[in-house]
Amino acid sequence: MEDDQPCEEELKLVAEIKEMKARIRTARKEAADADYVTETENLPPLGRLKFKVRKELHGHLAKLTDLHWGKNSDTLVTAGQDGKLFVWDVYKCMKQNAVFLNTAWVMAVSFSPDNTRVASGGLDNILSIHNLEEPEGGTPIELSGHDGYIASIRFTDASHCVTSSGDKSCALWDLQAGKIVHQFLGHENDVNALALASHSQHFASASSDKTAKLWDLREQHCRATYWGHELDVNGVDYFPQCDYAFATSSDDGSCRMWDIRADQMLANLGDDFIQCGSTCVAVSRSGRLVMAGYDDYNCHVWDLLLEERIGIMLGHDNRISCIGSQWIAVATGAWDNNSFIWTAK
Amino acid sequence: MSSIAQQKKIVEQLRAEASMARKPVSECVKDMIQFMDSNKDKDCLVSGFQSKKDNPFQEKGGCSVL
Repeated sequence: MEDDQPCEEELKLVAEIKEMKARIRTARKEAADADYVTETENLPPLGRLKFKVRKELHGHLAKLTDLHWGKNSDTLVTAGQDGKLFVWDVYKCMKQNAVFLNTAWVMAVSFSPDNTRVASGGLDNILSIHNLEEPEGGTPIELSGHDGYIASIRFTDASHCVTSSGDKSCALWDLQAGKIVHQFLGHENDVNALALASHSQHFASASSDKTAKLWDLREQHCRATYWGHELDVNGVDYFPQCDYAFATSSDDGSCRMWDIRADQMLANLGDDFIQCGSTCVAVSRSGRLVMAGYDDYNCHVWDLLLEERIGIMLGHDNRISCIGSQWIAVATGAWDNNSFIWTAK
Repeated sequence: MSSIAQQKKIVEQLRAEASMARKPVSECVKDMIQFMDSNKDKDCLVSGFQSKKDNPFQEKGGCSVL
């Protein structure tokens, strides 16, 4: 007999799911022995910060989709939908390397830890590894495994990568074996971005299911799920002490900071002035500043403690798609085909 | 995987997430503020540069002998 009505067991499980979520909410409330605003309101403000474009990296002939700082912060790799990866010497403002991809639709790029290789991925669903010590990246190693586009890549060590995908999963790859060795399942929609903790023990993911998740790489499971954003979460970056917190950006126009040890949102960076989605986010190296790109072609600089906008980065002529911070500068990439390097003051 | 099996997995995952040990917000915020304070001098986005010479991106003016 066909029966589309949920059976008793299904109803019981739905109720259990509801109860578990309530249990998490209660536990988070119990850890909230203080209010973030109250704890931070007496701290001295930073004042207005003036960010200036110092270098303009021209070369891509189409939208930039991703960028990654090199290990010494003097190089940057950018990916554009002209199907190219460029490795830039950011001081000389020159290309050190160019890789011509087999697909134009690249969405993600990452340096390997020693910077001798770059990984790329996109709408081709393939994780490609290019050798920068060979001309034009050499013949790429192309690894299949995802059933959807690759949105984000990071090397956890010389022979492993984590990726996030439009197939709703994140994956840990063994590059020598040439395949996925663990799938991180749980998101209910595309996983748009990931950030890797500096010690590679965990990573955070941002999804169109409106949540962020924290994944343990040693025990290979999801440690926590963070609810709060009202629309797709599309950017994520760790607080520099990676066991403390991470920040996310969302189509809902806000950026939020999630405390890992208290297991809850602490800061909500948004205001009525911003009437569009935020596309990408980066935390400065002391953790005090959060810089985020928006659909309205601007980046805004936030004081994470006082939850105030204290600077604006004007310069791009189209949507900001990617951003990355290091000690002395910030790099942005946009749909105006350009990447800029900014310093403050 | 059947819907029931999927939901059982979700329940187990949520149960595990619920059981984590949480640190009080007051301690977490205190630690974050301390970290920011210890690192603010090195963070040139917050503190700027001591002098223009310290900014490796600063455009160099002047003339050079050809």
